[in-house]
Amino acid sequence: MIRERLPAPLDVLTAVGRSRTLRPMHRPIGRILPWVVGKVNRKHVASMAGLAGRRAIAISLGAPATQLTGTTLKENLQDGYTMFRTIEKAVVTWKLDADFIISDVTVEAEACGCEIEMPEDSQPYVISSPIRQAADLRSKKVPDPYRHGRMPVFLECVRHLSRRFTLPTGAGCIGPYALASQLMGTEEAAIATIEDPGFLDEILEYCLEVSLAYLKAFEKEGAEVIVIADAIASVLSPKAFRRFSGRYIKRIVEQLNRPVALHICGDASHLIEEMCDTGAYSISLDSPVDMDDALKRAPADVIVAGNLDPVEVFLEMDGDGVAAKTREQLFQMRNYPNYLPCPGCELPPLTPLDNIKAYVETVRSFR
Amino acid sequence: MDNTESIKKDLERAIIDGKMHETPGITQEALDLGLAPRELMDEVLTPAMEVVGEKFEEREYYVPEVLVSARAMQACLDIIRPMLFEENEQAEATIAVGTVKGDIHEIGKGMVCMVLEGAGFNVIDLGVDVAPEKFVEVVQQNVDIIAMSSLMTTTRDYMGDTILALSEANLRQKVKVMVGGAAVTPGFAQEIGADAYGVDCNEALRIVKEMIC
Repeated sequence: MIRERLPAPLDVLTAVGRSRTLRPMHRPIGRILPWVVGKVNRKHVASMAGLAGRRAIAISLGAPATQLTGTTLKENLQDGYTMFRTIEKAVVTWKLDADFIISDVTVEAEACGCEIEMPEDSQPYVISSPIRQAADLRSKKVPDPYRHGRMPVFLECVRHLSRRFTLPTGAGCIGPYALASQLMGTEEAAIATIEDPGFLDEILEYCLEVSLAYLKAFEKEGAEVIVIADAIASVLSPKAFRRFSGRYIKRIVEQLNRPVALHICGDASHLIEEMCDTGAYSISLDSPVDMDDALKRAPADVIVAGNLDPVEVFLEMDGDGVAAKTREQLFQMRNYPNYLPCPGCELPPLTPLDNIKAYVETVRSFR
Repeated sequence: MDNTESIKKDLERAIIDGKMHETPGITQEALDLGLAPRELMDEVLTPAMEVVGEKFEEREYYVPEVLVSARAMQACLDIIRPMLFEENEQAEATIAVGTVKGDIHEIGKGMVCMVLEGAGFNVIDLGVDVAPEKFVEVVQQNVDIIAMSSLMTTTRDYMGDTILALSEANLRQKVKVMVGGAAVTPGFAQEIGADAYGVDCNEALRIVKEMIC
């Protein structure tokens, strides 16, 4: 279905319908992915992206889209239908090529018993880390995604999205190492990589189970792409990353029948090879990383997404500035078919809407 | 003489290698041999942390390695710090460090604390999720510099609020303000009226040294 006859210039992405349709065959990319992935490898997905004729606009814009619906971030993160309406508005307004849920890095931690704080218009954060010793872990059960914390909120949103749109629906979770950092404290987790790797492994096994249960539920609700954000893993050395993050992510990739994108915040320049080795279909890099260097190092079958600065570019520049920066990067990366333009990290909720419009239009029109 | 030299070497090695369980013992041994706390601070702790800082810059060390070294240094410092004060010594400067309100990112802030402490400054670690009022409160005591961290664009405005609160309390002239963290840019630092912006812990140390000159 990807090979549909299309007028030149080839724009497979725009040919993908955006409205609700009852016939699965009208969902070329979204519907195909789950069963295509089982039969082909990431090479095909990468070349699919390369052949699309233009770069996809597959970014998460839910947080800034709250401005469009006049809702607060908190309202969205507490109610699946509200979140769905916000993302729907974003997809329709900016004609996106994929629909992603709003990322919230505290969902799993909360379901596992961490206390969290939820400001009205800012990302929630974890304020207590319940696991101090092995005994704390033994009493922990893997949360049921349909019952515990706000996991059901996100599942509901994905359910609505996959019914509403023919685009690939993206859901996400936090990476095992990042979750372990929340459960035991970031400094403690970092120190445990050296002082107590055995205990850390036990926690990571638990985190892996939590992630897998949550992601399998997403799969069931119709998510076609999975984004794993092992946010804090960039603090690790390549060796420690392989041991405490990559190894677990690899197991998630192997057990899911979906393309997985792996995002790491901050400077992950030293982890490019390790990230690709997890088997992720796509790696997503933050603004401190040199994209040209990353694309040179990554195999051609891995889509490398990144990395315009969410703050310096998206928040602080005006529309013209954003368009210029976007164009500059698109031009620099023009020879890499596996490059996917993206902000380096989650966009701030108050990103000026004009800037998003400028970005989206620039990407869509660039040939 | 040889003994004291070799024990200094041992302590330096233990800090660089992050042997946090060994440093208290070695420190005690060194003190028993008659080494002065000030001597340990200037000739062992500070150079050791400099080596750690260099290794971090050269990417031989990553955050976990630095944190373990910092804990090792901390264990030593816990023993000698009261003695330094007994000798009635004054630190060159007192710096209060914290991550702003609504933000719980502690790694970067912790690294700044440890680098400054290793360089012999008196550091007050205010922790994370620190409200502007809290910063004002510590400035009322004897603080020369405050350092704020923010990793979220939704929390970085509290840096400006803190500076404003300092002005309102007529304390702005009394302290220097430095800021950092992934959500902060040099332009933003200037906009809110901070005195300096640092990209990482090593730069924070350079800035502090410049500020107290």
